[in-house]
Amino acid sequence: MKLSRRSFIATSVGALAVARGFPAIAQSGPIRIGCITTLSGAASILGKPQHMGMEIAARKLNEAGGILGRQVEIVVRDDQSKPDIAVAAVRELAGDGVNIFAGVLASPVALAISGIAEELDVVFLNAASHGNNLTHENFRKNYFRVTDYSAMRISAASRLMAEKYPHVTKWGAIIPDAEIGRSTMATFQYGLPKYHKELNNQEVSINDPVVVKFGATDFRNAVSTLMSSDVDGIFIGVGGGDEVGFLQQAGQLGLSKKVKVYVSSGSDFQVAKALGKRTPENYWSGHHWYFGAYQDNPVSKALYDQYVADTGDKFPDGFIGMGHTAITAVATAAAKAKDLSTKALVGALEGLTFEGVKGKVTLRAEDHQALCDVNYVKLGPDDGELGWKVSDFYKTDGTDLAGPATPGVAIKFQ
Amino acid sequence: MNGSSFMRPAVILLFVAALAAAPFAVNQGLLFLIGIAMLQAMFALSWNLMFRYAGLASFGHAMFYGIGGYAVAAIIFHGFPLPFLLAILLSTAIGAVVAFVVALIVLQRAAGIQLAVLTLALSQLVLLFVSYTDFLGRDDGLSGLARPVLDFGFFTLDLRSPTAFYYFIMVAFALVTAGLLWFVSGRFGRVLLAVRIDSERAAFLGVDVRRKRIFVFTLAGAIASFAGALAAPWAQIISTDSMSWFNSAQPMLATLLGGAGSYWGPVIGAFGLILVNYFTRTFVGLSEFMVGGILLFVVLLAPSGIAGFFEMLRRMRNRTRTASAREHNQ
Repeated sequence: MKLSRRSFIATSVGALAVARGFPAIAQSGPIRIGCITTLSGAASILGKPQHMGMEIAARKLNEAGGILGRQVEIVVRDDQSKPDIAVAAVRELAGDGVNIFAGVLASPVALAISGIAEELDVVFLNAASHGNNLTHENFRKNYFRVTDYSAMRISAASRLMAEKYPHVTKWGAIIPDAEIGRSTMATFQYGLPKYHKELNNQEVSINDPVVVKFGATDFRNAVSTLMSSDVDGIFIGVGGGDEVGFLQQAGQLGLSKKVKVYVSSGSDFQVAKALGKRTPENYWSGHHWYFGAYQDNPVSKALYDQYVADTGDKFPDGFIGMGHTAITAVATAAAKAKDLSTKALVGALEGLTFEGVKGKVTLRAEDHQALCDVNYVKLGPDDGELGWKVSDFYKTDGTDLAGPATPGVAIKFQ
Repeated sequence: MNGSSFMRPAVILLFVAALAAAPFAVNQGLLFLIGIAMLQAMFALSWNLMFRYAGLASFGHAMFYGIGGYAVAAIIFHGFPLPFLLAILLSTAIGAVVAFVVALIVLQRAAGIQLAVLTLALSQLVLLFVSYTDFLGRDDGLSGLARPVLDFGFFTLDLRSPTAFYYFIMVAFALVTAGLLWFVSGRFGRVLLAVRIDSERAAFLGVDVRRKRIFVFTLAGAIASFAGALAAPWAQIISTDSMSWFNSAQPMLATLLGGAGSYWGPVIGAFGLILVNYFTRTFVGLSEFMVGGILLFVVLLAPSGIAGFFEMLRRMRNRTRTASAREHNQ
């Protein structure tokens, strides 16, 4: 029985010793920034680039002397796309003295972290989630979004479709059964008729969306429903692995040949990278950052060159750009505030304008939403080595698409 | 008094002292995880109550954990003017009622593999229902739940303080653990053991097997709901993951790891799993690999879990001692 007592004491003492808390915010040593993103499961194809963007930004900052003379260290945790796992990770790191968090893909994860950020006295820079609610009805003051969001991106998609495809007036849609799906759909239903009216003076019809669950793998029913409806264009609100699955089955079942255009809220290059030669024609994908649209931007070019040097791949995802942008925003805010406390950083981030991979970005003071460009890229199949190609792109200033800042109040489309 | 009867209370006391000292020794992040470990331990204890004492292996136990969590979360999220303690009680009662109804239907005939499949199917149905209910946040769940302040008139307990909430959970954990131990150590526990070992013989002796099983299933459901009802405000979030098959597997893994044959096995297992997850948190995928590896090790080398392993060591030592004493006497 001695063994049991000894091992128990040893385990308890060992656990306590290892876990002993660090001082709240260390004033020396590296600045630790918590990267919360998805590194396992289907969405890891988007989370890994997001993390990589942060690492590259940190490395470049460190080469130039760090932030306020201190080196930057990215501490990464996998959120598994689950809000409760993410909350546990944030609590763990916050308890360990980390007060700056960045990253996150899924809107429910972002919402969960945003909800506890103030209580934990941490600042959270969201680098991908699109839910309208995050900067509207669920706005929290320690939350910042450094990328575009549903209202901006889907408005851009609507304008793009009205501009480039004036004759495509009968639309269908597929969305996930989640807040993000409903918020993208609401924007599309508002934006597309509006821009068609303005630009082409004609009416459009949009069918009720086909709703699927997150992580669905069988899209045959959804594809059949869309096949049997009289539509020329399809708006895709599902993303990541789900979007790949949908488009793959849409190709097999003939939907891709039937419709004239697909426009997606966006999985950057992931769909084309996964589908290769099976990438549908006339497929427009939203991008957090399309490097090809910023050949003259030194920040974008430096990130692109570093990515190519590190990986050998020539098509960095936009998620890399947004991970990078989050760290750039922290560095700029810290330089402005000359202080790394949460309060000082929140104050400095409000209304901050900085140079990111998409040029000038302003974090709107009222609702902490980034006013920045919105990017769309047209992808299609190709006979080359990749099996797919970029055939066109669209870059537009998202400032006038962002809608009014209404923190605490849901966005209204009227 | 022999060594073992003296050692067990000492180990338990040391465990309680370590839990009580935790807020002074560890950071808030780890304190949160220890809180989760206590809630998971309660959850696992409730599962093992069915498994060890009534021979019922439920594969959908997370349904009750989720029901408790969602009930409290909905009350907090939608601002129903109900005191927190009443909300916890109500959530536990809802879990108990649902468990009772499920037990009435499911335990009609099924006890073995049918029970496992039926409970799994039912839990997935409940999950699906929640994922289509706007009031419960559909797939997104309910997040940003405010932690409550308990007003007792003459004093208030501010659970917004992580340390205060931690002690609140600790007291709840201690009460549930002690209460259950008292319950299973008594006459009722022995009757239940008889039901598990040979239900036909127990029935022949006059034990109403079905009624006993329904009672245990209901009690286990209530405890799981209680743990869930504390977990939602502690984590400040509830999502459909809380009632997924993966979460249903957690008490089983904890019991398997700690040892189903011992009352304390699920507690040891739940803390063990949290420790493995904590130490592998920076290695993506390693935690699942480690848990899998450890379970394989346990199943092959120590089938009665960590608690059983220590028990085996104790017996071996006693045997050696007795043998050497005999030699000495000769």
